[in-house]
Amino acid sequence: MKERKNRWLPWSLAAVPIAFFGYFFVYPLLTVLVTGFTSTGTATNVLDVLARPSLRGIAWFTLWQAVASTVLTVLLALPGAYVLGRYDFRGKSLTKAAVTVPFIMPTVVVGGAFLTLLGPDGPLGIDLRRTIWSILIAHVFFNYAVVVRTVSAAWERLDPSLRAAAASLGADRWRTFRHVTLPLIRPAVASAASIVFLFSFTSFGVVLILGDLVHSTIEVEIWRQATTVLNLPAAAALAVLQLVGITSVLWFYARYQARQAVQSHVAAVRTSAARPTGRRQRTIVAVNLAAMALLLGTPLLTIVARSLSTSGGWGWANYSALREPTNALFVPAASAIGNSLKIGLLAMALALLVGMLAAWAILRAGTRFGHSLDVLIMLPLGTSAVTLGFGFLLALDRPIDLRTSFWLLPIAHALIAVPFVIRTALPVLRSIEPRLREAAAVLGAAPRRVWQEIDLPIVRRALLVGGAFAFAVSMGEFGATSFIARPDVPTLPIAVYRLLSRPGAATFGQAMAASTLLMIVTAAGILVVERWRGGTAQEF
Amino acid sequence: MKVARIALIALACAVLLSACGAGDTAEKPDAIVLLTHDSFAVSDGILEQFEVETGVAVQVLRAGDAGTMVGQAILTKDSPVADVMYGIDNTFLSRALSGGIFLPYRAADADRLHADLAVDERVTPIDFGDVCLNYDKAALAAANLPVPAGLLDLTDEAYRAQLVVENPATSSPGLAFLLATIAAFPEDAEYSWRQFWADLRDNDVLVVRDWNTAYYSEFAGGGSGTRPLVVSYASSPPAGVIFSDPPPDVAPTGVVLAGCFRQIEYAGVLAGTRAEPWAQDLIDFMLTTTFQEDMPLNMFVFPAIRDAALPPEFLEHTQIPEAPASLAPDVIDNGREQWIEEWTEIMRS
Amino acid sequence: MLQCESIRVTYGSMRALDDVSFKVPAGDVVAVMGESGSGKTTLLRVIAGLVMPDRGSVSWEDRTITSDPAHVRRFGLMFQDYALFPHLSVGDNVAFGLRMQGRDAAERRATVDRMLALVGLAGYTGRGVSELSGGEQQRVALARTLAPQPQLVLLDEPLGALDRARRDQLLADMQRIFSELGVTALYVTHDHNEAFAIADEVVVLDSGHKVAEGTPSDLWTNPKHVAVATLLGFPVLRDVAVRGGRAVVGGVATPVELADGVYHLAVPPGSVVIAAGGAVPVEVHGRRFEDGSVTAVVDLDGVQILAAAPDGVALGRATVRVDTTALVVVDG
Repeated sequence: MKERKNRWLPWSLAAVPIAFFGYFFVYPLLTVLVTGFTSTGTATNVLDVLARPSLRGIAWFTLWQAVASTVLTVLLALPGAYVLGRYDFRGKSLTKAAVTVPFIMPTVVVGGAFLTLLGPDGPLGIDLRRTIWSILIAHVFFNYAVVVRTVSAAWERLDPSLRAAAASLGADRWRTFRHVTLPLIRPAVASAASIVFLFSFTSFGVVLILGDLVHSTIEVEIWRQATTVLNLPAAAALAVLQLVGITSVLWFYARYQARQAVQSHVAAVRTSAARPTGRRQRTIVAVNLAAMALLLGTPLLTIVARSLSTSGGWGWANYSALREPTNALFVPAASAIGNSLKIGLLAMALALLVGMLAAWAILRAGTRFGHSLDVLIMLPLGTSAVTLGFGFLLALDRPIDLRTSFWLLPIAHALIAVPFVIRTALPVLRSIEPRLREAAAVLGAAPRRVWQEIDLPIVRRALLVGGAFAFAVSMGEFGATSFIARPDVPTLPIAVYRLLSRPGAATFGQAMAASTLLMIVTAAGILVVERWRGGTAQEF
Repeated sequence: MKVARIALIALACAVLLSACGAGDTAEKPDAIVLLTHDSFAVSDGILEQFEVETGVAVQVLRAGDAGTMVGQAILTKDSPVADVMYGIDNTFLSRALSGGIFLPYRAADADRLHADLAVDERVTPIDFGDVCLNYDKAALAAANLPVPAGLLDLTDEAYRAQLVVENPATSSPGLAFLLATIAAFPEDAEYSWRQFWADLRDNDVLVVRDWNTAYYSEFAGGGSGTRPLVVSYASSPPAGVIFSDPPPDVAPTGVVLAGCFRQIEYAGVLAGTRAEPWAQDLIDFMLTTTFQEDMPLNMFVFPAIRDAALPPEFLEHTQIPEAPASLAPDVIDNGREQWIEEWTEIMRS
Repeated sequence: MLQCESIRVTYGSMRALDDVSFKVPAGDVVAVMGESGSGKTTLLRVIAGLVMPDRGSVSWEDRTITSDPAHVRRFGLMFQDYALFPHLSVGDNVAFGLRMQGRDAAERRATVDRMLALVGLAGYTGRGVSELSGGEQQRVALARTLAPQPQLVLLDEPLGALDRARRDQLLADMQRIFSELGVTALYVTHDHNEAFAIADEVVVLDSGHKVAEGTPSDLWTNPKHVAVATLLGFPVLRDVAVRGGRAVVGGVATPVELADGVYHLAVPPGSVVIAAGGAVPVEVHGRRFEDGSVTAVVDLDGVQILAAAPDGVALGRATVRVDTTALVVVDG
């Protein structure tokens, strides 16, 4: 049978996102890969690089550290997800906002803090630097929010009567969890795990700073081949290798995502979180919050403390210095705040437009087209920043030379931010009963009108939430930004990085002050999001 | 539909704004673009002088570290984003030259250059810096150690666990130091650089990722560290004095003048520029006394022209090594990856 | 008048509807009756324009509308789960169709008030739909469906989720409203009580086929098909062999007025009675007290049959009298 729907509708909806991702992602990516493979003047050829035993080691390390990071993150974050999903307590939205801050902190900033904390003088008292543990701990730190947010949202939506039913059937707490709760939250756990795996698999900053090349991922090796060894064919070959890995993970992810949506459709939408009662529950909440504060708070507080420490004791000197122009930036570092805000807002607008259309296209399209589009749009999250950065430079010179244009930054940020818009909008769109659209059609609403009267009003809040996330992602983006040749409008993370790469205790303090400002702006953004969000589901 | 409207307006503006600025003429441009690395710094008003003199502004485009910058330039040589590149050093030069990214140009003031800096007609040396061992005077004294006379001293049991170096795979001074050891202990010598590094490893040398970590976190003279010896620059002691508050009369650190490696930074006109005459003017400008004398305190490098005056801090607290090691750019280029790989193997085992 | 001609719809390899034809004359209410999965909802969706048939045509007032999209048909469809717009108030839900027609605000307000009064929800305009009870939601859905004055009203199990008392109440209300407004309607249900109460004509679907059509009394007296009998609650004795004017019922050869052959026999209520000295021995499984009298659940050739019984009927063995003249032959 044919459900009466326009076969061209998904395609026409998808036209804008496909054009956007085609021109600003696929085209540059293909160009850089083709150029890489055909470029000459390199010391060794591709096969030599790929056949090197050290590469096998790198590929193996990339894979197993990603698996280990994923397992560790899920295990450590599940209790937190439980507490945020099951219990309501004062300061919960503040906690959720705080937990998310690490996710969007640039690695350049936090990497330094980790080096101190995991050094011999750190609170642990043991030297974990240059060990695999430092990398794993950092990956947990950055990705904790992914698991906590996704899984706690699923947990919140679980119908409490299911637990009661299991209990009445004689299941103890563990078996209720094992046989009722776990199967129901498994799709959320799996999709969060896929994302964590993706981020760990392509980890760059963390591995570069904490791994010291003793441990290297494919992503770091791409960067090394492209910028240190200048063996572009090898870099291109590695980029292809990585893309293949990423695409398969994303395919798995898209399938899980679709399956989870069916679930959220069935489950109660209202939150089932309740205030903790009794000493046991209150202890659980308190212990978890303390653990979060320790794991996530310590590195961030280290940065704040450093920003306030001056040669004459504690003070605001580092902050007031941000208003002075520095030779490292040509402009006062404070002006980077303005740049970041401007770029963030533009990136948000772009991401909203593209993400909104893409979400509708994914929703309306058949499974295969929908999944392909979903995977395409997630790919930039897992693509090496140096590959993409070089791709921009190669591909975007004609017809309009965008390479040194201010607009390249919001566009690049939007590429990375669109998945966030989609991930917030899609669950809501999927949860809209198809009957509602049919009812509107029967009542005389043409397809466009249905979209305007039903979909848009229902998804509007989720879109704003996704937009705010896009904004926050843009605020914190460093990797791609640093590889794009740009006119002198440094963003906050770039300013931090440049300040850090200048010698001297004074610029170091300023870098920490700028980092602290970045944290505050980001946290404020997310707090606003939390206020808006209410019961909106989010896929990560 | 507020959301959609905001997004649409933003997109429309993007297209409109970027449509301007495209043009294809050989006329005098409003600005020329200088492609450089992240460490580039210059005092306020210096580049504006170029604009006053020529009527053409200088737009500075920082492309990451030196390697990233060169990689970008090679990839985009058919359609370069900039007119002039500054900051490519002798360790990357050969690759850039064989990539054909530069147009030949002999600077107007080429005669004023130090004799041994120029290597190729396509690029003009702008500055140099020597990567040398630095020592912390107090820490060395406390350990009852003399200032090492040369590289070989470092393998002596007395200097066990005293030295911190940077990883040559991630750090430019680290690579320079590796090259210094290769120049000092050649492949075919009885005591090769491989043996030297194996001995350093056995003598408990500390390898860190980058110069920042080495100098500020591990070196006793940089603040929080403990090791009295570090691989750094000949210009580090004056920099340390300048960044101290209040500045001490005598620099607390010193430079071992033996076993240094000279990094020379070059500038060149990028092939494909639409403003070749002004690009050449910019190269000339970078050799003016104004620009040359501004560099030391911004980038902690030495001017490439002989008659530039050094700032007093440089004169007081450091020296230029007499005979730094050097290797030909093509030798470096051919050997680099292999050396780094071997070095990594040696240090891992 | 609505006319459906040879409608066929397939879902993958399954035929949801096969060669279904029928008419709804102007001003009439036609019920489509069938078990779940019989294709009745699909038929409604075809008529509404939400599903495109593989074959056949739908026409309205002699004009083919098979390929017209839903929003131009000016039909009203009331969904089984009401499908009220959660982001709109009661009033905005009811006004939705009017807004799509471009009616001005004053007219909309007047119509909404009139419709809400008609369904007994005057004053509910500003309420949110999530605050409503099931019965109230049903009334809002009805008002929303009727407000734009559709040419044809399609109702999909409109009373499905309600308790009995409320059903009867709403059924009566609907009858009143339909006759007041002179509505042409197609009413889908699985419940013959509803269908017979509201419809002038009933169409019965079974596995995508139309198996019977007629007035409620026609169908009651002559169910014609096993599916109809089942929907009416008549037990069916299947594959009863008749030879020489006798059929074996409950192991006993019983005289019937049928030619030789094999028949499905529907058992209308009252045709089996527990009586001492009845010809057919049965087992009484259970007792019910219903509508003031006692009924026994008996097993007859593996079919459960409700038999009128004396007050003190005991579980266990008993005999029944079968009024073979009341049995109806139905197709299978």
